[in-house]
Amino acid sequence: MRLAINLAIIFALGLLIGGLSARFAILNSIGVGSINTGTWSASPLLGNEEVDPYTAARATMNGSIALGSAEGLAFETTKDDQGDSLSRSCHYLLSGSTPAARFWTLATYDLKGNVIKNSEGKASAAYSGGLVWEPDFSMKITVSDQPSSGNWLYVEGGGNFKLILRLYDTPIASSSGLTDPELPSVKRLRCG
Amino acid sequence: MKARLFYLLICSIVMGVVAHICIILLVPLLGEKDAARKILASVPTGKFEKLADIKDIEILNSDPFFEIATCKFDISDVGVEVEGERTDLFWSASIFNARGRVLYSFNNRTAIGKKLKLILVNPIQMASIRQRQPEELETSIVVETSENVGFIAVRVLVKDTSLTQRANNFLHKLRCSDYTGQV
Repeated sequence: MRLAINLAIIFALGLLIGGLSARFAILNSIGVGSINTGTWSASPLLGNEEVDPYTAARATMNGSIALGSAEGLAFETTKDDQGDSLSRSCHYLLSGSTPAARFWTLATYDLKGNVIKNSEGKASAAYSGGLVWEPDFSMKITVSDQPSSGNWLYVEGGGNFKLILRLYDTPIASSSGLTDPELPSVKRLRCG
Repeated sequence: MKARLFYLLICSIVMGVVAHICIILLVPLLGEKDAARKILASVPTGKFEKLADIKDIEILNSDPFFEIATCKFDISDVGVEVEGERTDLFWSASIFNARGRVLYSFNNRTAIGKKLKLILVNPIQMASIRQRQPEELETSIVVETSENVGFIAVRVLVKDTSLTQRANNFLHKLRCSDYTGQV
């Protein structure tokens, strides 16, 4: 009897530890194949044949059609600069520059991976060719539920969201992350 | 009592490590969100179809500025030839195996003459191509793979809605046919 109880405890606790740690590892881009810059992370090997098991699991969980290295590279963040989760009820300012690429897109998603859309069904996303740029060629994008001058991405509602910045036709997709790419900072302005 | 707790904890951690490894390795095999499995299940072979036109297929984390068309291939018997019209829209393409791993990728800048022209063959068919040296080798990208089944995804940038029609035309006119070796 005592053995059965012991085994049951070991089994339950083991599954809990294993499950939570696996989930944590997948969601937090832990793995050999990641480039992490600030809160942004990318997996240049996401679609490749020789990926580590963590990247392979992440690719499956991601549910997207991976970008090949000649296509581009996707950076994702779920947190602001302070390490807090991005919340749809807060206002954020993205500023800075992006690594060299032919162009890039920035889109907002809910945590399941669906694009956030406004009431007219338009995706809340930006294309680098359609932005207003600062005089020093850096960019500023406001992410908020209230209209703002300059570049503005609309998010509203409750819950958290994530940002995916996709660089297309970029040399860093094939450089295996020897140098840290420079990515925009995500600053929380205010909430509510 | 203490010894028992310690023993339980150690065993649980060992069990946890085993469970962790199993979960990580099983996710790619069993994951329901897997885009490759969804595509292989619902996309026709030998024909490009826009993902947006296919019912009941939900690809997560996709770029809203892009339209994607996919074509499933099986090159066990004959190779596949993919051809698109010349366009000044940005497009990129990747060849995936059945597990959704990229075998080869290129974009309109790295393609020969900026034209989407690709021949996908297995090693046996490649040997025959090398022997015959057909003319189309000069204008096509030839990719050799030992993976017989997979799919090709072509993406086109639609930076604003005025380009939607042109992008759709490009995707609709994509060919994905058997490569018989004849010009």
